[in-house]
Amino acid sequence: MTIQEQRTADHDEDVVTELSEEEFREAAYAALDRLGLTYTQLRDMARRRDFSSAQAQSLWVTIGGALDL
Amino acid sequence: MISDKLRDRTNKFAKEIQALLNCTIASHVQVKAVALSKGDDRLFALGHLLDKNTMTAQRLRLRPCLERSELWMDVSFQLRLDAEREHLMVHKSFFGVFGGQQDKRGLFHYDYERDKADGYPDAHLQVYADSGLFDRVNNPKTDGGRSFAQLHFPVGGKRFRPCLEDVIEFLIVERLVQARDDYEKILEAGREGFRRNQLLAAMRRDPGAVEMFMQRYGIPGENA
Repeated sequence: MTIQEQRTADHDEDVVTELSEEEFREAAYAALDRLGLTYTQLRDMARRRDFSSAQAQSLWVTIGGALDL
Repeated sequence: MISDKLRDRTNKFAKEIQALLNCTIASHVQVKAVALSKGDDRLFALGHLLDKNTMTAQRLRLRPCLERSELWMDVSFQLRLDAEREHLMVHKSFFGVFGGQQDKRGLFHYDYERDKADGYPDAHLQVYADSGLFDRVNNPKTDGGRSFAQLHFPVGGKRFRPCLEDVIEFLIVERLVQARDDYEKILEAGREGFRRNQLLAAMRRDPGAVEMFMQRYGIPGENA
């Protein structure tokens, strides 16, 4: 992909999907299930900055704090 | 509900990250975002092909300089509104480099989490490596089993942390990944924007320092 193609592809596309609180929660718990973790375990890993995997750390970036809002 | 203004700003941010990656070290990156509103707070999670079915950024494939090897990168962001609910800011970010799409450990990662309260640096680097010296100096009574890879090297705090452009540049100049032509201009433009935003945020948080600067250098104020 050239720089020009990239700029053209980027133009005016809406990439944001807004989820309801229930949808977000459901999607977050499904992602936690795939990693075999609970939110409490993930939050504890974040508190200790000691994640069981890079995937868990990446998921914390996405959902960390969201379920506590 | 997400306002049009916040949606526009998130779209702009996503497209900047996408263009940065596609114009330097990656191809066909599609940065997507999911958004959550609760009360007056707003949260946006962004990453390559991130949607409600994945809820995590998918790793993007890089082109290593050494043929027949693999490198993958995780680029994830969480944006939130600031305390005044005015400005969208990066609340968390993660830039990691891995040898496989599903590997649990890789080369290194940069991690940022704003205003952590537990003593760890907000912005830090972790290197997936071993050190004989560290193993000898690590106290087994207080930190038994801790490895070098678990150390959190501070990298400048929330205002002066490395940006994604710095990590991309590191991968290129250390001859780990192939870069596109003219990558330098893309990186410099992005880095300039990041640093200016950080400077503006620092000024917003410290008007006394701004006033001191203006007095010291004889810059007339708004009411002069």
